[in-house]
Amino acid sequence: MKYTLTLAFTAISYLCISQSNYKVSHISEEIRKNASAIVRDQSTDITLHDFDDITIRYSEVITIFDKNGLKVINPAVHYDESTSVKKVEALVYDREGEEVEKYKKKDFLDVSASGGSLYSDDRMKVLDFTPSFYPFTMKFSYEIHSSSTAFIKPWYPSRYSNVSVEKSKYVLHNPKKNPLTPRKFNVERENIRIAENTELYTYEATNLLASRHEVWGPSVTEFLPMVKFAPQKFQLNKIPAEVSNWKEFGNWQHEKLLKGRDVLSQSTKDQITALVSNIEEPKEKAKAIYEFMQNKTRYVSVQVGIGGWQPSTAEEVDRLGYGDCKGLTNYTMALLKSQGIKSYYTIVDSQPDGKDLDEDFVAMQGDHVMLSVPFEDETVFLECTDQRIPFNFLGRHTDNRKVLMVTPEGGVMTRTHTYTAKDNVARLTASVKLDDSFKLKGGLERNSFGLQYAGLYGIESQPMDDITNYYKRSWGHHNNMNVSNIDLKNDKDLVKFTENLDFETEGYVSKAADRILFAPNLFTRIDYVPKKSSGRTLPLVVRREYSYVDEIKLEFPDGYVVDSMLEPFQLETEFGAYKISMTPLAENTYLYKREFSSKSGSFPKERYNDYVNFIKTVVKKDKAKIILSKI
Amino acid sequence: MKLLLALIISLGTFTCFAQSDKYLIITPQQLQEKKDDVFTDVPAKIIYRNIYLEIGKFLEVREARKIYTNDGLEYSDFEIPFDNVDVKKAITYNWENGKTIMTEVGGEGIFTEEVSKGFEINKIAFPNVKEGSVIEIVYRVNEIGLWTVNYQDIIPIKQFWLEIKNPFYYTGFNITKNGFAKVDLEDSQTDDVLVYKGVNIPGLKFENYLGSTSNYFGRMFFEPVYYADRVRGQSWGSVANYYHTKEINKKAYFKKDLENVVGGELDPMKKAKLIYSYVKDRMKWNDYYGISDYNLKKIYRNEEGTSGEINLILVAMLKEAGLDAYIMKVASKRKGLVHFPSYNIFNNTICALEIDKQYHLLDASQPHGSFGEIPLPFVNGDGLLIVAEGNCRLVSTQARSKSQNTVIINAEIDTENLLVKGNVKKRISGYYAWEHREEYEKIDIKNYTDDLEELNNSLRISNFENQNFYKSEQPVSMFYDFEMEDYFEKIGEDIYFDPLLYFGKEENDFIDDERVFPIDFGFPFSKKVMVTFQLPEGYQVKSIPKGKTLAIPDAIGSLSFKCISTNNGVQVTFNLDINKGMIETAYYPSIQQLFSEYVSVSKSKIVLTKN
Repeated sequence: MKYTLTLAFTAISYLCISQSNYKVSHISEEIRKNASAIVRDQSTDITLHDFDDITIRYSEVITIFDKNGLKVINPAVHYDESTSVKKVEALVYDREGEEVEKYKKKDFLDVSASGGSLYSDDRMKVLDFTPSFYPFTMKFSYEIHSSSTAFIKPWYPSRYSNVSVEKSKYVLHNPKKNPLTPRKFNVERENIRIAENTELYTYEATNLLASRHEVWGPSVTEFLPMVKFAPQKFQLNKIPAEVSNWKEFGNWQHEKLLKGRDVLSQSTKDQITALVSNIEEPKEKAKAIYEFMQNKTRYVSVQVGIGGWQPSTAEEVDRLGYGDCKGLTNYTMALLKSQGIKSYYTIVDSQPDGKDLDEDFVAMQGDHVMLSVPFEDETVFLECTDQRIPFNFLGRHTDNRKVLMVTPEGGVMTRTHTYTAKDNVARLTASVKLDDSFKLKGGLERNSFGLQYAGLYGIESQPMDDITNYYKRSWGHHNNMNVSNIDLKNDKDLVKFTENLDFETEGYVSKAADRILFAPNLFTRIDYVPKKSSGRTLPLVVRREYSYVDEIKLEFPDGYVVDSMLEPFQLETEFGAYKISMTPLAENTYLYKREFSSKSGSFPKERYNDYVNFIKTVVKKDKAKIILSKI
Repeated sequence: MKLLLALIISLGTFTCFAQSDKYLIITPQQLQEKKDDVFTDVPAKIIYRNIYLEIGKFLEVREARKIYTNDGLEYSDFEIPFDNVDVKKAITYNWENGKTIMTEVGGEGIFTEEVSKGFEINKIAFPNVKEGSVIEIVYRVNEIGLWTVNYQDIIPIKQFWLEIKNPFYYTGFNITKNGFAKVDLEDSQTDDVLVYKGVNIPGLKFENYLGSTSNYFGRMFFEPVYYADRVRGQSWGSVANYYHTKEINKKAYFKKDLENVVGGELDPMKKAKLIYSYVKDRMKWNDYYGISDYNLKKIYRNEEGTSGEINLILVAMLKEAGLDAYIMKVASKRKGLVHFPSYNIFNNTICALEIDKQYHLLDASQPHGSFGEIPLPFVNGDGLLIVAEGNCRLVSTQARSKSQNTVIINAEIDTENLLVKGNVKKRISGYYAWEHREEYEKIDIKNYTDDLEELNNSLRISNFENQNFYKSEQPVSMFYDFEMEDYFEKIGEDIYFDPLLYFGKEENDFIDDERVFPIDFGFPFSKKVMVTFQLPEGYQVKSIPKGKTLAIPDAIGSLSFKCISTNNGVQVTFNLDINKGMIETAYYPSIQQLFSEYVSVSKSKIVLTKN
């Protein structure tokens, strides 16, 4: 089949390129290297006709080599009340660049995009596609028209590090010269051309090479090129806005989305007054009110229209006993207000990998809302969607990052609490006896704080069978383990989780003739060792730090003696510290002690292999054994 | 199990189901209850699930749930899997200050969502739910035809009640219960009302190695007979009739080719293998299973077809060669186990060959499969073998031959560089080979060594070669050199190491104390590991682990481990055999013990000492 070249017309939305360019063999070696998928051609053409009128024409041609690359294509387009889909289409080509499948709008499924919510107005047109051969190339394109302009589709040529880009172009027409602030990241490189003026913004990238995935690196947004726009004048689901700084943005949020929604019935106000009547300390009052809210409500996410951005009223949450993060936060704010305690609706990006809100990007950001309550000595942050989380405690979803408090005077950026290794400590004490057949029997107590607490307290409410299996799996290196008398205590005031249990393990030791090999570090082990790297390109980023202290009393059976003792060992590096020792306590009784703490931080890429060596040493020493032999 | 009822035509309106109403009052005791007397640590329970059915007319469901803990709150977000629903009652009950407080779900709590074109569901958010609350719902669905009733859920059901009234449209209806569930219901009949009752039905616990979990939920399947006449046979015979086709008797279009392929071969097995290979190589699979065209001649000439079509051709050719070949209908794990005669329960067609009273199940559409293997998703309970018109039998789809995984390793201990190195020869057959070929066919085979190194971070592989990757009738062989750091431990003058390198088992998969359902390994297998360790300079063998053999009764499985000291090293032989793909629950303790022993021998120690 012969192909004729079709020229690109500026009037036409789609960039038409000769199909033969999609031939897989045309891809150069260097583009192909390390890539599970290649963006052959990507084109974004946006026209901001006015502050409340935007058209987006998007087209991407991607070649996928294997199932690892499949996640790169996502033939779906979202729409809602303010957005309509004018065109959507997908074409599939084989390795020769020949078109083999064509999907038109009617072939796309129209589904609700409720995602994690109980219900949502959002919908999307999505193609249910399963490839029947590899490699294949898919061209996915759509055109949408919207009156909501708060989010302008950014330029993001490659969202993954193992995807290369042959060509990607982004054009934003702004004929009415609406005030826009472009924010550019990682674009200072040879292969990227930029041309900007108030009416036309053009960005083009060619030959961006993929790189092998590297573990423990910075988030991709820190090294992949990206351009995003903050419109100073925009509309969101029929609500207009004009903001040029955080103060004004916060003001708009407050006036248009929050104002007047914190009204409570008199009976509820009286109820709260009675609740805190005997409490003097304002922080204690806030705690009582927060716990009242936790007991009264539960999290249910319902996103309807502007409700997607606006909290349900305090009165509604009070009556129904449920709400989403916005509703529950607003409700708590209203309850506190009734007692004269000031608090602020706070916007946050809640991914565990700790993203700050972009301080220099005055626009809708974040995916979650919580409450900030300023006191003299500190600002208390409250997670209102979790019924069990302690007062003034955050988990890994909102710790250590920049967030935006919406105050009546405007928006104010602040930072949430950072948990250090000292905060995130787990202390374990155990007493173990080995009998003649080398079965282990004993009990342990573990106290966990900070983020270690956060990772554990949830198990308390699980059925006993699941809790038992949880321990068996955590300590899978015990063979044939039985756990009993499990007693769990969650101290919300101290933010401490205490576990007490008894255990019996039959197959723990290894036997070699008449010698017994026994690894004294029974519980806390690091298992995962990353691979060393030759030529790492990204810095090493360790996001959080933890510390562990284990003290285990070991009683060996009569008739056996320790033949080869554990060598004490200590190691201190920039990545953390590790120390183990075994000391005699009494006849055939020893105390094993292990202390490990890690350090968070960003380290230059040259130090990566040193980090791997550090972990490797810890893993090895964690499994170190002593030898017992018969007298 | 099926029940065929011919009920008296019942006229008149829907009457009150008085017998069950006593269960419907929410009492203060229920509100104050902190935990259930039978299921003491569940987060929530279904107090009652009462279903009233007038087939063809409507379905009414009355259900109440008790929420005990925070984790149970999610069970108060209710999803009704039908469209065209009337919610008659939805209330949250709470016990506050010595009184029962009721909060009704208002219009704002009921969401009708068009999940996809033409299919709506209803979602309900109950207000004011907290630990201790009880929620109650009554809803009615109009126009019910063929459908499924679940009498088991993830949380326990204290009382289940299903009441069926016969509509006057139909002369009867069929009810079948899931024979694989471990839940029993009591049935009774009074006048023209049929009732099923269940008490204290435990929640379905998900276990590992289960195959397809939905197969095990307690559920019932309903079909009115008139509808059934069109889609369901009264017996397996009529289903066999439906699927039998005279097309498999036609031979003109392949006769010449068949003669060339068979040549002078007389042995039935050899003949069958020649024909199977020929069909497999000739026909290209188009990724579909169902039969869309019975014009086998055309399909044969085009050299491309669906699984069903290709296998019909295989049946035809084998029959023409004088062999006992039959059409066999099967269902995938996702489709579900075959319970009762119906035209709707199969989704693939394979060929069943009988030689010397043994069945060989063949699928010539799969390029990576081999003789006697059908794709794993279809190894699922029984299939229907169609002998001739009206004559059929149910035949198990379980694999009849073992898949092999053999590894032979030569290893030397490098005391200077503190590592173990050597070469590996690995040979896999059966389903192991099939899975391997399918996984690595489309991507670079180098990914195989990458994947291995991913699993064992101190392992480095080089000089990788593989043989017979594309010869689906042969096992796949792989050869490579390896190096592994930190493998042995030096304690004093002695060196300690594990006997099976990275081919041992670190943790036992079976940690539950008790198990309810059978264990599905997918296929029977035989794993062999043979390692020869070379003694390093200046060292001698100090001790080797004791041998071990363990056999599960009734030849279900076995394990053996042996270590011998030789002139210049140590030789280790390990065998693990599981002789059935699907193993009955009663053998669970033995399976658990077998794997525990596997872990034990994997970490037993070989000890060397300096001369």
